[in-house]
Amino acid sequence: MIEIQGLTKRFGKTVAVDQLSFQVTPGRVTGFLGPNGSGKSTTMRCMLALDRPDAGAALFDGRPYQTIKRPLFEVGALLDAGYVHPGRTARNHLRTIASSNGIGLKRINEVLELVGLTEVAKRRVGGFSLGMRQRLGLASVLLGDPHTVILDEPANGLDPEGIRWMRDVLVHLASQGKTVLVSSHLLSEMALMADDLVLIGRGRLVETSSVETFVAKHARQWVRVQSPNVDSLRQPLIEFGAAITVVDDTTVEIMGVGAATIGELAARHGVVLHELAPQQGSLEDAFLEVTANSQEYRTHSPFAPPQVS
Amino acid sequence: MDLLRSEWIKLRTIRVTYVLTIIAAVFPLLIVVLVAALVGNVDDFSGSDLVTMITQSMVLSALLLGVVSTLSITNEYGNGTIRISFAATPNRRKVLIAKGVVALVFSMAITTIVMLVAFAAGSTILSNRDASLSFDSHTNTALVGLILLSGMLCLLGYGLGLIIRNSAASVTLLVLWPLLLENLARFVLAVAKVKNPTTWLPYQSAMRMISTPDFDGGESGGLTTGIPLAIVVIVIIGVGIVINERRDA
Repeated sequence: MIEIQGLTKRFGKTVAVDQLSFQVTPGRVTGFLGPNGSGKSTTMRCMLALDRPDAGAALFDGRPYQTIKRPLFEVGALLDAGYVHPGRTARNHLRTIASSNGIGLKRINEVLELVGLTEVAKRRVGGFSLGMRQRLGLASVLLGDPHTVILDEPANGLDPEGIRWMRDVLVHLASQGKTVLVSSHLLSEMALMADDLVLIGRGRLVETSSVETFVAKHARQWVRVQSPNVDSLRQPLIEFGAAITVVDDTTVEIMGVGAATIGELAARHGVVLHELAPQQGSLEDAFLEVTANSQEYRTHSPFAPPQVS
Repeated sequence: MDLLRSEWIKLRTIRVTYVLTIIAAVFPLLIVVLVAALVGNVDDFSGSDLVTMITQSMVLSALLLGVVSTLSITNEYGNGTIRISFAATPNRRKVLIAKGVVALVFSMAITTIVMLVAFAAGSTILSNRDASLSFDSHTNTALVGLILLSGMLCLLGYGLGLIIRNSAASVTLLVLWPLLLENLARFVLAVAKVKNPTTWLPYQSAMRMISTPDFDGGESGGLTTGIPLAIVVIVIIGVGIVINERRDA
């Protein structure tokens, strides 16, 4: 169990993390989301006592990280796969970490096998791709078989197979009852992997809930209707307060009225339906909706016409 | 012990440690062997000359080993691996002390080994050429002083690295301190007519530990002349550790 209590971190006049509080429960993958510059990485560094918070605390099973004697056995963390000496071999990189907590070569070989890097264990890390470094980083996380795992953007640089593998590993760890906190910009991945979400913006907690609840609450919902005489449905639907978006001659998207009501209306007016499909926006849609006011650097559509003043 | 083992693995698993250590070992050995083999009149060559040749040529070795210890900390900051180290051992002071101890033992051990090999090689070559070598307490003090000087330069480099956190800047300062800064300071003190200016210059004072009476005007100050540099090193290391405990990693 991870408990963040009123965590605050300032860099000069900038408040990177502002009175942040949330919990991460065991046995579930918790996604840590937020726009760029929202304070996710700073929060993770504060949790591991790498950055000194100005206020608040991060507790692992009720204890601050700095009081844990051999942290690798309790908390495994991957903050940046680039934290490696390029001249060291993969095995030696792990040896430098493992030996500080009394972990032997046998376990190092096991985790190298687990992440699929046994064959390149004697190669210098400088020649590794980002994906291979991510695997090496995950190997260092698993060294002490910790019950809490913290990963910052672990899918960065991984190919589709690697992303799927990473997802499976994290879901497996959670299924073993471990506490898993993972930040990622790949929202489609997060939707597949995370059970719970902690969403922050400008260093503050925006929302924390299950992924299901979050999407249901914030993502757009509509019904896709396809019919050879879809125009006959238009007037009855408008009378029901529906908002209609025409897709093509036979297809419309309807908001504000449920699929059951549309089906009944169609039957009442003798309209043949070829498709009646409830649709829901993605986690990405919900995320963008919720963080619209928390974006540090906002972008505009490249397809928008130039504004004439 | 686990931390010391970890730091030892870190030190010996990067190439720059080997390159600099080999240069630090080969350079004085080469000088001693060549001079002992090629010196014209061995009758004029004393035990004190041999020791002076070893200690003076090994000042460069001590500086190079200082660079090794500087890089042992600045490389960690440069590559971000210090965050992994501090995450694996949240007690930063323990990590930094272990790293310093490993660098210190490594530096003094290499210095001792190279010094003994150079001494044995030089003595053997000169004895085979019928030179009569005798050694006294001054020569012994100079050899012990060399080991201490090596240790202090190692810790000086480590301390500078702790504070500056940047390889190029730390190494430059480590090298310029003895070669340029103290010479400039000595010039200024001389112009100001300060008596015994060397007393106020930690590195130049420590250099008297490795001087024998026959060398450079015969100024042998004994091991106590290393105290000013030792104090400077202790202060720099102390400041470095305090800064690193307080700063974000």
